[in-house]
Amino acid sequence: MTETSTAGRRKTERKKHYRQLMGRSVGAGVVGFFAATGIWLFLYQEDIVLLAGLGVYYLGFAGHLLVWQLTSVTLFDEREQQIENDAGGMVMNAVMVVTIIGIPAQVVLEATETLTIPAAVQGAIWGYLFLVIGYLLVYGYISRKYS
Amino acid sequence: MKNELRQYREDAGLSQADLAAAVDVSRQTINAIERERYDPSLELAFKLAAHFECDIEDLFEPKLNGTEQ
Repeated sequence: MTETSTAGRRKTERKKHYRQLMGRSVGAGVVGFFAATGIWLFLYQEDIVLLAGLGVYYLGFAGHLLVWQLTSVTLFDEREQQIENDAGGMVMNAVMVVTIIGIPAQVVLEATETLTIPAAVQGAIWGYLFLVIGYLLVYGYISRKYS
Repeated sequence: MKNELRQYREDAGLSQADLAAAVDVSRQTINAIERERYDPSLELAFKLAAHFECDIEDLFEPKLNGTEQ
């Protein structure tokens, strides 16, 4: 085995190790949260138990982010990043379609009293609108980086 | 994009995992390139060409629409 491929193998093993670490960190956070909720429900109904569970949950995600940001190893290769971009783009397109169709429909249907739209649906559509606005702002910022 | 990656890899006696480790991507990425499901970035194409000590054009044959090959 050449020196390059040995180094490559070592890098692959480190990548696997760090990804496992990230998964375990989130897993521990989620398990901790559910465990605390279970204890609160069945054993010890003190607020501190729920708050501790929430703390463990956040710590799990903080651990995930720390490993991701602090390691010098590239944890996700270009194909995985492409998959993420494509998936995010598809979801964003769906959100935009729902927003473009939903917002005027909601306004008109409410104004004409044709239909009373449930508050949850209204909230979701307006939430989508803010998401689209946020997306467009970030899109503009990033496109400036490439111009 | 058509490519000769599998041929080059097999000629070199490498597994997909070996090649993936050498160019710092996942084995799945090498597999996807060989199956022409994924087109690599320029950087990765250069890395692969450098690894096999050949030109990019020897490895990859782009389908250029509207231009004569």
